[in-house]
Amino acid sequence: MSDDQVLIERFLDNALSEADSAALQERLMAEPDLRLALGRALLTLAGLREVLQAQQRQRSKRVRRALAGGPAFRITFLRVAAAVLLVLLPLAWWQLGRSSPQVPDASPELATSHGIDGDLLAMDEAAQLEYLRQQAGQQRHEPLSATLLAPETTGDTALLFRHQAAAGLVRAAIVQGRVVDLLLAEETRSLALIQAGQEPALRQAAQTLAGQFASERQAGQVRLLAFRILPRGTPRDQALILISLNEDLQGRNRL
Amino acid sequence: MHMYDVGRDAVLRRALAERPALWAYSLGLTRNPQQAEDLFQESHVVICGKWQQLRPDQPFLAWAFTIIRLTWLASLHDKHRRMAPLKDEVLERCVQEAVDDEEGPQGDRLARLRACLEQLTPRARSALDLRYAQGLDCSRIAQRLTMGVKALYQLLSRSRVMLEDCVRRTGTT
Repeated sequence: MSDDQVLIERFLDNALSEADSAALQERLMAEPDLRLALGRALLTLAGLREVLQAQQRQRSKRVRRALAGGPAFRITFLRVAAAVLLVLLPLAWWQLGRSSPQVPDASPELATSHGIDGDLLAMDEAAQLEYLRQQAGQQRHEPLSATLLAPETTGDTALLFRHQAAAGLVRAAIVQGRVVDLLLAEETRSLALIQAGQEPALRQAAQTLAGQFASERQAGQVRLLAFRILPRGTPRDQALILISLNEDLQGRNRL
Repeated sequence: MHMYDVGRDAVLRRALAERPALWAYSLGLTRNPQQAEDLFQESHVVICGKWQQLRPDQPFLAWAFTIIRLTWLASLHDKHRRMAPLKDEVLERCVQEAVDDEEGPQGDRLARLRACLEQLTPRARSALDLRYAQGLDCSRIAQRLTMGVKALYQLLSRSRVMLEDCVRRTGTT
């Protein structure tokens, strides 16, 4: 990077001392090229703002249309879901059949309070698998309420509803192997991010947890991880953890 | 349509067309995307209210820059913020000369910028998005992207320079 670029960067970052500012001003008055460089830098940032904000609006619109069930997006979702199912389901069922560690601190009461069947936690792995197979196809996730999930709906209550919707979708996807629901949960994530963006520390914690999950590299662990984390923390914590978990799952499925 | 509406609409259309230059000037004054956004919007309210003060022989950008500058000075007075490091007229020349230097309509430039943005890495795009679309400060972005603040500055700077080069290159081919 040239010295002039460094100077412009420091100006844009509001990091110039008084002396540096005076020197820059002198040079700007005398050097048309430097004036042009600074003007272009400012215009590029203005253009970026336009383009990025337009893309953001587009994304919000896409999420709303997807939640409202636009046919084009449904087809896209189903295509992606079919591809994901082909990769994920064999792995998931294989993993479910293996012995896995007990979950030490997710009590049945807590699990139940979050809509997870508490009895399931007490079962051994084989019994869990059998139970899940019995449940498959019998459970249906609750339909998302477009109003509650709309970005205009703000506040903790709205976040709680979003969390519950995301949790419900993840649970349904885990129990039924309906990966398409996870994709919808990914869209829910986008909306939840509106709130979550205010909490970088919590998000960091959630990413750390998801990182541990990623290192296991077994899609079947999604279920166990969900059991471990859902009963913990505030609704906001849980929403953030679910967000990261979904992100990780989405990331792996794209690999 | 009444003559009043014709004049007012023309000024507002012009303000809409020139919004990148107006925002660039706001950013130059504030050097903070969030504050630039506030200043840009407050100035637009003034432009909408004082459109009749624009004389037919007066260049629109110079008039609008004055409004932005006065709005900024008023907010400095209110909130006791420190002044911008550059003289207003120097900054105005920088933006004006860059606008004059551009070829083709603004819409073309934005289309090229959009295409060039696609050439950046996802991480660079995220950083730009968080900084310039969502207006987060650098420390928060660095935390979110799990990187150091200095590295983030470099990433933003490199990305911006690359975008500028790309937009210019694609504009001349």
